Amino acid sequence: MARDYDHLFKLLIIGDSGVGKSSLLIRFSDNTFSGSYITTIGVDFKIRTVVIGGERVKLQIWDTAGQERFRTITNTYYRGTHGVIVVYDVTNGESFANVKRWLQEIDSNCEVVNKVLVGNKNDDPQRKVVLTEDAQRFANQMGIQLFETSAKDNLNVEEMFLAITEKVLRHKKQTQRQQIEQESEGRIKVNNSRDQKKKKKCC
Amino acid sequence: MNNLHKILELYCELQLDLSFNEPRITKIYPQNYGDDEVLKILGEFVFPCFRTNSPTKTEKTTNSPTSFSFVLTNINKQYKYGFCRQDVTSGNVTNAIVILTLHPWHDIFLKFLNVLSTLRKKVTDRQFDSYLNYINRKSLPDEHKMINFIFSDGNGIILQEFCFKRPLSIALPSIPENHNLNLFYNYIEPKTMIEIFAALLTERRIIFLSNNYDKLSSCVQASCSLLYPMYWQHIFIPLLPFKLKDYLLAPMPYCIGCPTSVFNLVRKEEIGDVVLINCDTNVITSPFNDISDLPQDILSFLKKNLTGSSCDLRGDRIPRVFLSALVQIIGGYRDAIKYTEKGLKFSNETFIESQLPLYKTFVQKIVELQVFQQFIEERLMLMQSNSETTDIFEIEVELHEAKMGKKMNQYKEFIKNIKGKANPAVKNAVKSVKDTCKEFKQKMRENSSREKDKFRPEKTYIRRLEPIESLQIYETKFSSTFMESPSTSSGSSSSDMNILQELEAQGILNSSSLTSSSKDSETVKECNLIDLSSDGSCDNIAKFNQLALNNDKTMNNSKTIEKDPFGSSELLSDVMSELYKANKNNWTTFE
Repeated sequence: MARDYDHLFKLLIIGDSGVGKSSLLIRFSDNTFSGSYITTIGVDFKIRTVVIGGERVKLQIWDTAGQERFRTITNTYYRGTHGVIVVYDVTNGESFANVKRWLQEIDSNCEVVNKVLVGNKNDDPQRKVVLTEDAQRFANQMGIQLFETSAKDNLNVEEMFLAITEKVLRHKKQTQRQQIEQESEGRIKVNNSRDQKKKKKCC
Repeated sequence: MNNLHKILELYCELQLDLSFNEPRITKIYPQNYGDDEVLKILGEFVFPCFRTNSPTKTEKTTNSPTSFSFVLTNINKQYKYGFCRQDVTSGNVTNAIVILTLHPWHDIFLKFLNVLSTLRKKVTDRQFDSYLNYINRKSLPDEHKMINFIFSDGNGIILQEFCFKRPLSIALPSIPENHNLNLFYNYIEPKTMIEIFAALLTERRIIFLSNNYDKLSSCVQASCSLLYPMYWQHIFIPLLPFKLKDYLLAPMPYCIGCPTSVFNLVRKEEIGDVVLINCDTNVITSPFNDISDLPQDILSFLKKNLTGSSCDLRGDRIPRVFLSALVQIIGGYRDAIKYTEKGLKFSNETFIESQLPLYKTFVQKIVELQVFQQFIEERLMLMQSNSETTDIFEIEVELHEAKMGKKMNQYKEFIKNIKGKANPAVKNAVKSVKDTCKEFKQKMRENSSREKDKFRPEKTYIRRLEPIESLQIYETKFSSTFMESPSTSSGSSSSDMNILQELEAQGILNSSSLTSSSKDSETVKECNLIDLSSDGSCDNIAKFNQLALNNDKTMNNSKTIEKDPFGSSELLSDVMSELYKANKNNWTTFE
């Protein structure tokens, strides 16, 4: 089986039930016919391949049932993922409070996980209770990017997914570069020490 | 929404004709069953491998019926248990009946399927429906009470009868009553059980493999039950149909039972790091070494009680041994609960701090687990609602702590004896030990008041005295020579020896060389001390040992001894240091 991608990234989408995670995923997914299994096995994922800088990036975005029962989400949950999409509902203050708590937990407990903050259902100004300024202030404080989206009107959804994908890709390349640098540094050191030995011998 | 009061949520009949593509549902009860998503996926779970090209270990194999269970999870993370029986009727055609229920009573429902299957052949469609109505109208009995279904024809002739006792929700699963545990015990070696336990306690991604659905599903479910009083919080699919094979790629922790033929069709490099347990070969492969993270004494405790040749693992022995291990690790959770203005609060830091050094690193890992955090949430909720928490776990914790209390009584007795009979040097020591003793009394009081107040904690108790033993499973073995007093002149030291021997008999000490040798000295000449340096829990003893070595070259018998499995070492270390201080003064005078 030939691989149909250059990179495979696994992302998580977290947030209270009812904030529109599924709708966001459906908007995002290029696999329109696939059903959802979240109501039968408690977990679901959607796939999409995007091309960034000529490279095919396959994204899997995973969602699980019953997250709102967790007061904290511990870092074992994020262990295998490349990035996290944290969603709240701009018309529901409580969903924002939950997200704040979770994000603070990730931040304090986890190694670097790429994150993006999403305020969904941003399509009815009259019902909006989580103000952009407040959310932005919090996002700045946490050092993450904020997107206000509407899955219903397909606003900002694409931008948000591309942003997190680019972030994850950048992170991967950076890590690879660092590894290569470290390795080559190691080699240089080895070479140096060999040289030194040689020199000593020469002496 | 909530069908807990009902016995059945769904009864379904399906047919798979291998010359066609998909399994067909041929009967549904209740007819207005509303969950279409479940109906859509049901055939996949009933015939998990029919889509594979090399299908169907169960789908087409033997002519004898096979039955197995599977688990679905709804959006609220509530489990639905599926029980399925397949009958190969002719060549390519397999018929199956399925029950979906919220009750995890495997033993009952697997038997019940056979009853329904027999009954189905005897009566008309309509009659059968009225039986199902009758079953679901019956109210569920209280726990441990019998319920009886009598199926009769219109003329009062009994066609079939089925009765069962509603299982106790608080009982540990037991062999031979528990179907899942039976299979787990039959197919998984105890050594592998411990490795599975370690992987679960690290919230790994865990895949079980087998060609037999029943074995597979049961092993996954029995494995997760070892975490009791904690419950697996992540993805849980004891039987994964081929159609859902991509769920093995999930990056989050999971426990999945995957038919081997399905697993063979998955691209392994996309799965990532997983723990693989082959239930058919008993081979476990893992890129991790989780077992080495278990505290050493917990590991040896598990090994000793599960893998020993004389271990009888029937009854509830297996879950009980794992429960005892968890009691030792998390049993002191109440000590880290504080009462704040906002209600009860559990402090991870306090909990970690209250552990013996031996446990600290591991407990740091434990508090990071979702299973542990949910366990704490659940207990806090119970405490706050003032509900009684009397499950097996709490009972085990109490027993465990009571034993700890008993050890303290023995210690008090020991001090009293020394005080009464000891020679002057020892008496001096006892004076200074007094303070230590007071401290212990204080702890005992705290302990007993904790017994009373445990559900109304008003302050934080720092747990300093840790597990003594659990269920008599540790050998009461202290691995050291205590003290060898050469004195015979006063006779008091021989009394001391009596005390020590008594303590030894009581299992507090194991003194192997309690002999008197020198005639003219009241000093302690050789001190072979309990060295707990390997667990680091008794720094002062270790220090003392070192000090003793440095200070006196005649102390040539100090040896490093294995660690104390009880943790009552702390208590002894205090006595020992005091005794040493006293005797050291004497010694100096003599020199």
